Amino acid sequence: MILQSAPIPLLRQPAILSVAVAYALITAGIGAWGWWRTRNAVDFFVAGRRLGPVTLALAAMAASLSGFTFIGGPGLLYSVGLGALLIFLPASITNCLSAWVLAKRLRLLAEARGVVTIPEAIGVRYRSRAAQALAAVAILVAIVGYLATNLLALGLVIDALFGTGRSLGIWIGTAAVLAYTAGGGILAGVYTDVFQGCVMALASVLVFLAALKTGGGLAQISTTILAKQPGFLGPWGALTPLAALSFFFVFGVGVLGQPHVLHKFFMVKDPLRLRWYPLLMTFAMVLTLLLMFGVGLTIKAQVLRGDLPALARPDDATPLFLLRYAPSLLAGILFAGVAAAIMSTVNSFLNIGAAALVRDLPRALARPLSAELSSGRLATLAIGAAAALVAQASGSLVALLGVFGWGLFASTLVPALAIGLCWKGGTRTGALASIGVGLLGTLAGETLASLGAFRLPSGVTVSGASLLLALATYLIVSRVSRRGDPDLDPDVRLVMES
Amino acid sequence: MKGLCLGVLAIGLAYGLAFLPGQAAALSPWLMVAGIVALLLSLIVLGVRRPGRALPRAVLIGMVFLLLVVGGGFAAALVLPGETAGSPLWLGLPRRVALLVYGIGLLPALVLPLCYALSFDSAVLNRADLDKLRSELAELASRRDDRTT
Repeated sequence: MILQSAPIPLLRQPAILSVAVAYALITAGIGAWGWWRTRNAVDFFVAGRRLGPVTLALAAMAASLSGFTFIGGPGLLYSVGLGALLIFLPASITNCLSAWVLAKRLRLLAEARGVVTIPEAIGVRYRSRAAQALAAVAILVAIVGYLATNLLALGLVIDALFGTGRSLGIWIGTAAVLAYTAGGGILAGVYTDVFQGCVMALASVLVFLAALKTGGGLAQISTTILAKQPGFLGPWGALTPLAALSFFFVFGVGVLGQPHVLHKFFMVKDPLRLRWYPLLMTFAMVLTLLLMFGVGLTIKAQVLRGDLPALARPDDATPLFLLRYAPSLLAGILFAGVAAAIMSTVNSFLNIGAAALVRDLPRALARPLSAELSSGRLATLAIGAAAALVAQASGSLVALLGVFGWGLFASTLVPALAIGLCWKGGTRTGALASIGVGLLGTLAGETLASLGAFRLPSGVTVSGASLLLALATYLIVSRVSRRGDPDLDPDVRLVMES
Repeated sequence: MKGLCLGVLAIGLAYGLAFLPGQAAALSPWLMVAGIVALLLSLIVLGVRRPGRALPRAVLIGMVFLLLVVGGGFAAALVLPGETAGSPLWLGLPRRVALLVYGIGLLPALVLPLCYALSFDSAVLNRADLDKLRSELAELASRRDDRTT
């Protein structure tokens, strides 16, 4: 990717080096503090249930936005036009949606039953170990892909900064995240996320302002693009309306199945303080998403003006902007922002992956582990190492795995979790069927589509179709399997009705 | 639940029509917009509704707002003419994109969190409800413990 297009390691630029070192030291310091504070499995998996609304919002924002926001997003906008924005536009709605549908119920379920993972919540809701195990498997499958793509991106950032080479960069990046995630679990993770979220928001706002200044203001940028390529500034860009709207559907509804974000609701200290969570989270997200919009548009305008050659790789948009137009201090802050976006996502995935391995699967098999803290640390190391190995196999495998992530979470978890925790008519059979259909539909669909075995009409995506199929399966199977389904546990019923 | 089923049906039809040639496929985006709006609104109702209580006014306002902004914004983007070199700009963006970016991307970010916060006591949780729930949960737990011993 383009971060390698820098002719010399950016380390040789003092301002960038200073920011990179300061970022690394602060992250390491917070990680060490988190490790020191982690004393048991509740600390390790749900941060001791001590989070306030600001910490929750910043940590959830940092976890939900990966390196794609800063690198892939502007590149996608540059290549397909404003239709790409429909991936991010739902952010203005989704935080309220997840708060209304899930935040309170997950937090209260944690209080009633000591639930600390999303598969555990599903298992408790349906009184089903099989549903818990299947959800854990779905999460583990999706995590491997997500982690591998993020660790690959982190390796590229480290290579660009320090000239280590991609392979070594991946191992260094993995070791850095594991150093605090394996020791301090999610407790270290959320507080580094808070710092990293601030870095991301700051970097995004500064780069957005610099981009507008470079392009001569938003009106000037639009006028330039409209004169040469008006379709780019249409609401769907180069996409068909259905394709762009499919983005909105998958990313708007799919947010209710993203375990690395929803997991944070278990960590809230006082459920009454959820009142301001959507406002804080939405504000932080909007700030952090400005970069994609500003850089994607400005680079397009500069290319159309002839100030830049057309990009060979759309992902070059952000690094090219930084190397060409941004002062080195700003470039340093943004590289720290990219690293922060990746590391905050990676540590969340490592933690929920470890929880699936040492808590969900053993409990689902009626073999709970006695030493969940030490097992969780070992599982974190193992998952990190496995994902780094996959990331080394750069190319189509990693790209394919990366595609799975969001869609797989959405299709497997939205029906059984989001609808299931609100609708008492959802049944155990419906949950199992929908998780199975989501898992198989996404895996088989994405794999066969990537092999060219079939081609969907423009606008119909595998992730959208799988989510739709899983929703329909849950509703239909729940209707027909209601007789014989076990009653809800009384405490779960109370939580659902609360 | 009816709204949820209708939303799923509309999106299913949108995808299904995309496989057909000609004019039928032109309906797909409209069905997708209808499906998305129906799904979002039904999920909110599903999340907020509590036995024996009406939906709070702030939530209803938020839902009407969402219907107008998302449904209206996408409908306008589908209906209004395309951009040309001389298209007028609204706050620096062509009209259709401005409706999406400022309408769907920014306005709900200001309005919905306020609706959530203002209706929190009645639609989500308040101190009395939380205390009642905690005492009921404690009672259930003690009954469970009694049965175990």
